[in-house]
Amino acid sequence: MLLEFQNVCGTDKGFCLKDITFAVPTGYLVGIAGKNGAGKTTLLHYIADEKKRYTGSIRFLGQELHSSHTKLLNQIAFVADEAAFFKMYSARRNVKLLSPFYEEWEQDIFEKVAKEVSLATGTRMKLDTPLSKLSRGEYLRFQMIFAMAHHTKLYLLDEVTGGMDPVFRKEFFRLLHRILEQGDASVLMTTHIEEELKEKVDYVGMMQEGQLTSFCEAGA
Amino acid sequence: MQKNKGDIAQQKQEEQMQKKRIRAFDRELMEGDADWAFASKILYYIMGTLGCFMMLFPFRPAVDPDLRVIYILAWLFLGMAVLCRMQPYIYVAGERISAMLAYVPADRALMRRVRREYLRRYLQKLGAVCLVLQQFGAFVDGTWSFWNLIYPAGMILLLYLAGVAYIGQK
Repeated sequence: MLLEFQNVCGTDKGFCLKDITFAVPTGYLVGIAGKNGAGKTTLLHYIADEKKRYTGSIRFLGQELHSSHTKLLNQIAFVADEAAFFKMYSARRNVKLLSPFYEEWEQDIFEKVAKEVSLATGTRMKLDTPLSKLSRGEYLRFQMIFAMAHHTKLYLLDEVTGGMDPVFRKEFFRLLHRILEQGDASVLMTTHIEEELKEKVDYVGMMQEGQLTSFCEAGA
Repeated sequence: MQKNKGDIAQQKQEEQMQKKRIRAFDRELMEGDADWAFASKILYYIMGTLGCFMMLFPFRPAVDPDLRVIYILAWLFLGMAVLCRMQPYIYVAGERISAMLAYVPADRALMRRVRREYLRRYLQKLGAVCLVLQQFGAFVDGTWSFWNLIYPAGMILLLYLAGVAYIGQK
């Protein structure tokens, strides 16, 4: 298993996650669904943010996440509207600033995938425009390419597909499948969109009021 | 025992690698917004110059109320100079840099340590300048005492504490 939650409980800003237990196998797309305020984003933050305090265990690549969080972040990517980048700077500048922190950064992959995505969607990637001036889709595209360039093993996607145009949505899932086909990465995404839960994901978890009420194979 | 030594050596090596990455990041960061850097530099030099000028006034423990204002102004101007000096490492366009690195494998505790190193190196130079100016002022005034050594040292200590608070805990 790439990621394992075992009886994870935590309280953050008054919101409680209660007894979360599930596992993300390697090479699969896991969807977490639930109403607004159910705790989906909080769940992702517990993986991505080292400041979160909880009881229980979160294991990533067989290691306790909390014990070597900074090092393990090399292989985790948090993709969301609120993801932390230097929005006043361009994509290229962000890459220049942040890529030194990643042990396995490959600039070639960044450039290559950016070119491929541009060709596939018919829109040029604006790598020299400040991130704050990019559209939502363009910003998410940049984040995905950034994540691929540092050989991410676990993609945490927070409600990224909502509001995507059909062309980009198709390209986006093509990118995801390409990532999953490599066999050593997994995607954990939160979503509201029923069609995605039925057709795109391999496993589905339902969250309600901070609890994971069910977790099973999609279509089961 | 052998394994522990190995672990410690590896830990130190990783720390050195992280420090290198942080310094590479800082170098790239300093090539940021040229306009803002220029404005910040102007402010820094003005505050620094005014603060250093105030340090020419020799410190006397039995303080004349007018001189008290000078000592407070010295502290304020030098404090502002320190903040201007450190600000590019802490904030970018009003956003805290540590927040923007929340999901990046950057050791933020080590990053704060590196910034405290920058602060110490800067205050060592500033402290030397303040010390010299204070001694010069006291000798010219003919009122030199041991307090003229304590005052700049105390000033630098307070500036260090203020700088550390500015760099922050989280």
